[in-house]
Amino acid sequence: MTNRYSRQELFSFIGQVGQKKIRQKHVLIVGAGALGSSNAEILVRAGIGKLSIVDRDYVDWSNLQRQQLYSEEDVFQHLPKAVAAKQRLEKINRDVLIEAFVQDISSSELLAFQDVDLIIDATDNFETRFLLNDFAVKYEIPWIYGACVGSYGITYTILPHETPCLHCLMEIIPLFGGTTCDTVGIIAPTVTQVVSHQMVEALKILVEDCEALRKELLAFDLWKNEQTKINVKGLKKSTCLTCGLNPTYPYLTKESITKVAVLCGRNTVQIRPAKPKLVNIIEFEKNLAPHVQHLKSNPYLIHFQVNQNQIILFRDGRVLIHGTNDIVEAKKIYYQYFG
Amino acid sequence: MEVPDHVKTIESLLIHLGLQGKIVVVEQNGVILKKEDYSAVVKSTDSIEIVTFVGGG
Repeated sequence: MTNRYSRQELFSFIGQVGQKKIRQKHVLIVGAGALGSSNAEILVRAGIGKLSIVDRDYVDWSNLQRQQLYSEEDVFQHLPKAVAAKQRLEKINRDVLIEAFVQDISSSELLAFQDVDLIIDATDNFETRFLLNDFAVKYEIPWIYGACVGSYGITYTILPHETPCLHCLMEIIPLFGGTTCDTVGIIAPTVTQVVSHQMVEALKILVEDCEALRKELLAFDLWKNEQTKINVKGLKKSTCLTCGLNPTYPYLTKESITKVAVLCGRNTVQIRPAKPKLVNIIEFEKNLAPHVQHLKSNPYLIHFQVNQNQIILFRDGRVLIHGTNDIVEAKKIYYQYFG
Repeated sequence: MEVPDHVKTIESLLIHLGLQGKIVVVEQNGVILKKEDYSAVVKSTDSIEIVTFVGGG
């Protein structure tokens, strides 16, 4: 029987030795949207040892145009993305150990991933990226920033204490997160182009060929036929609070509080309890049923309708309230049903 | 890239490109500029690279 990795092993920079190294590696992907699904599929097909996927969302119709792991059936079932991704990935390669986490990632959750070999950024916001950056630098884990919007994509490979970190490059979290997929759209080729760059860097790291890494900050606009590379080595700062001489890891040490966040451009508010609390889905469903409309559930979440608002309760206690950007209104609904 | 005559500095170039207030890295003739240097004059022969950070994924 032909070895399923034969073509990858024929590639001289990987070879059988590289393939064995890939097989021993554990990768964490944060976010299972467009970048996350595409990155995950490549890693699983490439035969890594273990993949951990963290995502806080569920599969929606608007995802199917570019989020390649998901199907219409996942939308009908309201499956969380991490769960749907795991199911699909296990069909692609059953030899890879895949862990799915349906949760919002904060510093306490990240601590479980200190032993990973690589982190792939597939999130959709800078807050999480600055947290990942602090974590990765503190525990000396390489990570690969990737982001896209419209036909524009950007990526950079961060090797703690060797390259500048995201904090060195950006200094602050942009106030409004810049433009997002939900306001100016996104086309699938932009996603796969960012993923191509992230994954070739990932393979280099997994086979331990760090000499071959790109080293520059790379950005492109596929529609405008533009590509830019900037050598940012000089932006590494000894005063950086994340990777400098006296690090305080400001984003990692923030206290965990009940967090209310407007999900940019999605007309949705997320409310997360200070500490994840495991919700008994069946009991909640029984109590809610007389009071709300269109109540449905699966093992991971309950969803129902209150007037204009679609409400999702996840098993970890998080609630998404669709149909509003108003934090006060969202909190009112939250406390009415979950307070 | 052609730019209008009123674009004479990095700052005005960023405004022209709709990138004012965004977090960017600007390289002029191979040198990365600090924010306080965005008043630097832009010549038509300059090689300018600009990268904007975006958050989507």
